[in-house]
Amino acid sequence: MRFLMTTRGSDDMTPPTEAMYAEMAAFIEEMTQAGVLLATGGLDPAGTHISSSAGEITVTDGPFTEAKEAIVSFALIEARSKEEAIELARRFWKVVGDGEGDIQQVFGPED
Amino acid sequence: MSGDTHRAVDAVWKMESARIVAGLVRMVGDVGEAEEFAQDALLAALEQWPRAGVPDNPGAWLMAVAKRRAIDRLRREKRLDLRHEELAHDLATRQDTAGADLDASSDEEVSDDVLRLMFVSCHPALSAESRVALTLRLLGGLRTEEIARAFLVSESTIAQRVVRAKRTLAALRIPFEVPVGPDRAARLSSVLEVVYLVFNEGYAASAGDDWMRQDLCQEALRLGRLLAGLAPGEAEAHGLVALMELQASRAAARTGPSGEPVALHEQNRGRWDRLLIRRGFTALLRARSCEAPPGPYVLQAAIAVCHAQARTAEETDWRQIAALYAALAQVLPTPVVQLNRAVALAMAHGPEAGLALADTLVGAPALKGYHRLPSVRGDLLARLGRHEEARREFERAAALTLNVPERTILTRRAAACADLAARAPGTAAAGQGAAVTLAEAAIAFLARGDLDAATVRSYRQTMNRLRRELGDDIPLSEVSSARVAEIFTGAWGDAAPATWNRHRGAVRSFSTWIAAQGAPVGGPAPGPRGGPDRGQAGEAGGGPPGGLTGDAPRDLAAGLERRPEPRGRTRPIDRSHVEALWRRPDIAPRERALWSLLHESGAGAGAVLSLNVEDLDLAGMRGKAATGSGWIRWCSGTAELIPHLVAGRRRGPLFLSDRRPGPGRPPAPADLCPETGRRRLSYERAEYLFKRATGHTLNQLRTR
Repeated sequence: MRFLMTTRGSDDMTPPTEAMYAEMAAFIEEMTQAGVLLATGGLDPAGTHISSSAGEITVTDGPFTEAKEAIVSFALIEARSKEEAIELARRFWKVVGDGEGDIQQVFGPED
Repeated sequence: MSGDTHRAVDAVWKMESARIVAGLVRMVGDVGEAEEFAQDALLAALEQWPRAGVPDNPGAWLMAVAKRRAIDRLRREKRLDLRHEELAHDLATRQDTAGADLDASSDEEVSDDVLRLMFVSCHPALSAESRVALTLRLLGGLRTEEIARAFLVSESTIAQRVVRAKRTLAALRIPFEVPVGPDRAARLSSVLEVVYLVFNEGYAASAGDDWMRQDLCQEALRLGRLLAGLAPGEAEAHGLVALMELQASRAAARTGPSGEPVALHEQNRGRWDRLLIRRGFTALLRARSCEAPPGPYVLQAAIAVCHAQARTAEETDWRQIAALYAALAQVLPTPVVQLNRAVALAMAHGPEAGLALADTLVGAPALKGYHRLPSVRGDLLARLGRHEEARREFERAAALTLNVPERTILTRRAAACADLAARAPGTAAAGQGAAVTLAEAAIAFLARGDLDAATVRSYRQTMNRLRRELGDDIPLSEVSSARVAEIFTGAWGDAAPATWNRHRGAVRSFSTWIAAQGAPVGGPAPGPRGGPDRGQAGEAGGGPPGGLTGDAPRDLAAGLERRPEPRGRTRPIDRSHVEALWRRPDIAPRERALWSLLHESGAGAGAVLSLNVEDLDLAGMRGKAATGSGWIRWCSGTAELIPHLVAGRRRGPLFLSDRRPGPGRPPAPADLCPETGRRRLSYERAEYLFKRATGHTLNQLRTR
């Protein structure tokens, strides 16, 4: 089963330390090797917003969300179950520290 | 809420069990014991976490509990070594486990231990299925019932395999270490085989199967990646991972809407998972960087890469693939590899090249009954315009495949070839319109009025087998004695001589009958084995319409020797053999008593097995059988053994089975022992045990 883990930005996010980067890198490497982590990355807060209504498509700058609502990074993971995804997320947050995020199952062609 | 916690425990267990079990094996030295302690920890978690919540570091919690149990046991048995003494002291002085660094080993040591555990659980001394079950349990953390669901067998079957595996490892004292030196390649190959077996089992699953079964591919991928991570210097490990990633990448594309299999060249490549493809490429690059001559998995992965790199089927680099198959055939010279190579050769260099190779595989015993061989030949023949032959091959292939959608495809192709064959002018089929087929000849042969019903039935068995193997439509002239001999070996090679001779007789009769049907027009009557006249007779033109023309009739049974049949009914076993039997040390007490009783009493096995404890007169050395009347009497040899078998029981069958009967099949009350719950030993089982030990049947123990 695949899950998308996202983390949100927050006003008082502690800036990452050297040590945290190293731990994070090791964590990512381990998860990638095991095939658990399929893809990961940080998101540029300045993006493009698209809205489509009654056939008309509007393109603007965006997303304009509050800092603590914006999604700042994602990880696509492969896990046996939702519980495993949660456990992996817990380990991730142990490394990162304070913050918030979501886990959503990604449906594939077979679902 | 507790259901959630159970699932959380399960998830953590699957993530951590390999590390935990491996660490325990290092401590206690025995896989079976290690697993016990690990299971203790799991049970503790299932008990405590629903109440206290899932701990912060669940892996460490489980490891701590498991180690504590292990240390307690080791201390009781005075087996504790210095390092663990220190750890035990540490545990005793702490109040809580949270945050404690109870793992005395470093990360690297743990990884080494997991690798050792993989090698041990995949030891070649264990059967392949035992290795699979044990590995999935210890390294995958799967429960017995999950493994059973995945492999479509009963839970007790898996439990048995695991138990036997642990016993064998203990009995053989397999050391807990990573093999080095000359052994290593073979041991590694054994591990890879297990992983690929699991993968293929999952790959064979269909959409409607239990999800645990479908998930086996993922499980195998995990194990493979784990192995490659722990042994990064092994090219073949990376090769296997690459192969699995690439195969898995095609999973969504390989079945059509109605579940029919879609061949590689017809798959919608947009449905290939590019993430897995990329992972596959990376794994193969890692394999290449190991700088070893490419082994079978690396080569198969390289072939898979060729396919994955082609944006469309037409862009496939078949020359490269053909070259890779040639290399693969060097290290893995199996007929299946050669068959795939034939396909590649045909794509790269034209159908003749492929057919030349495929033709050499026609007699291969390993491919007997494998539908892909005729399927491939059919395809190549069709491409060469030999539609009639192609049609026969497709029909054979359709008859051999068990997969219904596949069969439909093959039958359709056969029909298409038939169309083309009928329309093409001047083909062999057009000129052969009057040739008699095997089916027609067989039917006519069996319809002759001069055979009695029993003979016809017997001959029909033989003829049906030939028709099934060769195809109904094969012209009689193309049936060769060599081919018949091949079919016989496959069908009745291991049967009793009487059976072989019976079928041989049928073929000889058939040959004689064919010869008697009439000689071709215009030539001298050919001899039964053909000879120099054969060519002329054939060229003399088609004989009487509907007759058996073409080549001179051959003795189709020419390749079949008559087998000598043993005479007489049940011959009693030679006395000296019986005496040698009693001297053997490896016979179980029950068997010894049973065989001695049969020998001394001369009673039938059925009667002896029906004996009950309450009907025995031990002092009088006799017993009353439930079946039949009269006493079964034995002598001193048996008299010594029977009391041990009775073992203080008052009632119930004398000879009991090893295990209690399963819940689904309760035996009759008279066949159940009230004290042990076991059932009466069955004739089949007793016969099997005796045959396995001596090669004779139980009734041969009678001396009179």
